[in-house]
Amino acid sequence: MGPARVRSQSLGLALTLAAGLPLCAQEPAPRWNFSGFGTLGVMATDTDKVGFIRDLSQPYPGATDHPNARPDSRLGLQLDLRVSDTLHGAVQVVSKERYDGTFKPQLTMAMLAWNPVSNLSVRAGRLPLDQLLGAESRDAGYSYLWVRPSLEVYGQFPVSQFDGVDLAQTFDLGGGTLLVAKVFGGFEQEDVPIVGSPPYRDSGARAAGFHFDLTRGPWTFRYAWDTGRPHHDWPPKISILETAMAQYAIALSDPRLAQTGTGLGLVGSSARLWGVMGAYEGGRIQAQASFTRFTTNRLISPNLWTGQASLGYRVGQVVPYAIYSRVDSGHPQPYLGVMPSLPDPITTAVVAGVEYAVAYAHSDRHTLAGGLRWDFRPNMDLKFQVDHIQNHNSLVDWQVIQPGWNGRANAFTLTYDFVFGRGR
Amino acid sequence: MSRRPSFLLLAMMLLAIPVRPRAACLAPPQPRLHLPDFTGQGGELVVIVNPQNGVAQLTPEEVTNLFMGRQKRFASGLVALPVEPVGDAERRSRFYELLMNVPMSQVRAFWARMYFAGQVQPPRQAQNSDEVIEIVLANKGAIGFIEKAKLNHRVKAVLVLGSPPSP
Repeated sequence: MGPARVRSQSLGLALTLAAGLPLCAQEPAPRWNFSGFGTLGVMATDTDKVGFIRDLSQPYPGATDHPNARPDSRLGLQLDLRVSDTLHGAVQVVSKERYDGTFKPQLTMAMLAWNPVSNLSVRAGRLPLDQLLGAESRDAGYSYLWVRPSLEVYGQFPVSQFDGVDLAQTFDLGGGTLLVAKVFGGFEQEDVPIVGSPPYRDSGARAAGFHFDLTRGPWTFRYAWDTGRPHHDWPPKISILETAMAQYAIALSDPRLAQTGTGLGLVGSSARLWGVMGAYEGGRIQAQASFTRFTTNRLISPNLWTGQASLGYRVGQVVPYAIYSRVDSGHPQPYLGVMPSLPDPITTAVVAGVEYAVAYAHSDRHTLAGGLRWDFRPNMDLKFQVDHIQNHNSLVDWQVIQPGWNGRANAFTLTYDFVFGRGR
Repeated sequence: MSRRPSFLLLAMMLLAIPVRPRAACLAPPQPRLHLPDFTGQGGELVVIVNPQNGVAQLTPEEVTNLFMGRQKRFASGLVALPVEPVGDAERRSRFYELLMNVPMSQVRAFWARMYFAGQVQPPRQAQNSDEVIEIVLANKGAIGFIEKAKLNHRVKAVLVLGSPPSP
């Protein structure tokens, strides 16, 4: 059964549920609502030696020292249908810079949500992926404090929706304390550009996981865990290296070379992510901290940890804030045996290719940022943020690094966020 | 390696930041008698429900959970229908200030986060307190808020917010 078939069946199931349910509305139904959100953002860095990207799905060339409105600008439209007081549906389309450099609108949500019994929620269709706090609304700039979710944490996991089902049960622990347990399962679509190669497009990657939210007043804590299995492999250039290493393993009687080759592929691999997060939003303070750990069994997608801490303090309608974020994958080296010492040019090229492919996947950088959010009118804000980025050993987190770059960049961003309709 | 401890230290410091007592940051379980008047409008706000709703009293935390969409039903299992008077911007702001100690802009940002993630529907919108009362009367699960002067015997008050006028 192909992934596309599974997805169409899950949507069909959701529609069947909607059609067959009794309407027990306490108010006139159905009720349509049209709403939307948008960001007009302009940014520039102080260097032309690297291309800044917001997340790993953004393409060449990235933002440099010329004003650039592409990374942060976006527009989302949403249509909601409240069928009854226990059933509603929503469709959302977002236009933003894609892996191919276009702003072609993408269907980011098409789901039905059902609340059949007390505090149980069941959703099916195309759903937001919400393992990281706030990740499910990462495109709606008005909904969060910063100019953008940090590349070090959110940008490492650019997939923001999946096709499948999630279930959430809320437990009242008393005294206003709630525990939400949520499980999900389905298929993801991931599109990532690769420098000098066709993009990596993986439709039908399996994903499943759960998270627990503990909420009391202004506090929220989350523990999240999920796992994923890619469905497609990298583009041909990397697959050729995988095949070559298998042949060298035979020719040199060194099975570990075959393991290196296998480590360059994605099909058959699995990835896991777990994270702990906390947020406080009360009075004048908005604070958030997170730590996530991502592990795989492949060289080409190295283990990494990410962390972030942010703090904002409201003064009237203005909130000054600061963020520190970090990602570190370590520096795993591929096992190449005696290959580097072999003189023939083909082996030299294969060694260079393997070493570059592994190095390209490294992430090791941190950002210290400060900014202001000004809610100057209802449903609108202006933000200004300065990012000071220190690159230690990241290639994948930038578009094209020119020789001679000192590893530091400052980014300056001004955004205007708005929402309209029911979501305000 | 030297950066990892420094990051963890920063995160731990952030979580340990002394904040205002929770009772002042969100709604306390006790009646609020000395809260400042954030809008200059003064007077108490009353959270009301339909008389057929079995609930007798709600804590500020329970009202917060219902209005923020964290809980979609009352403890009895009745589906909740929060209602707010959007035509009365000052009263709406005052309600959230008193209930959660956050400004309206932060409430809007919260709703945007939840709504555009397909998680919950924002409260139903009424134009004014009279319409809030009408909706509460017409829906067994409705819950709204009005100024105390508008309270009548047809609806049931389950929580009073704000300080009474100074003597």
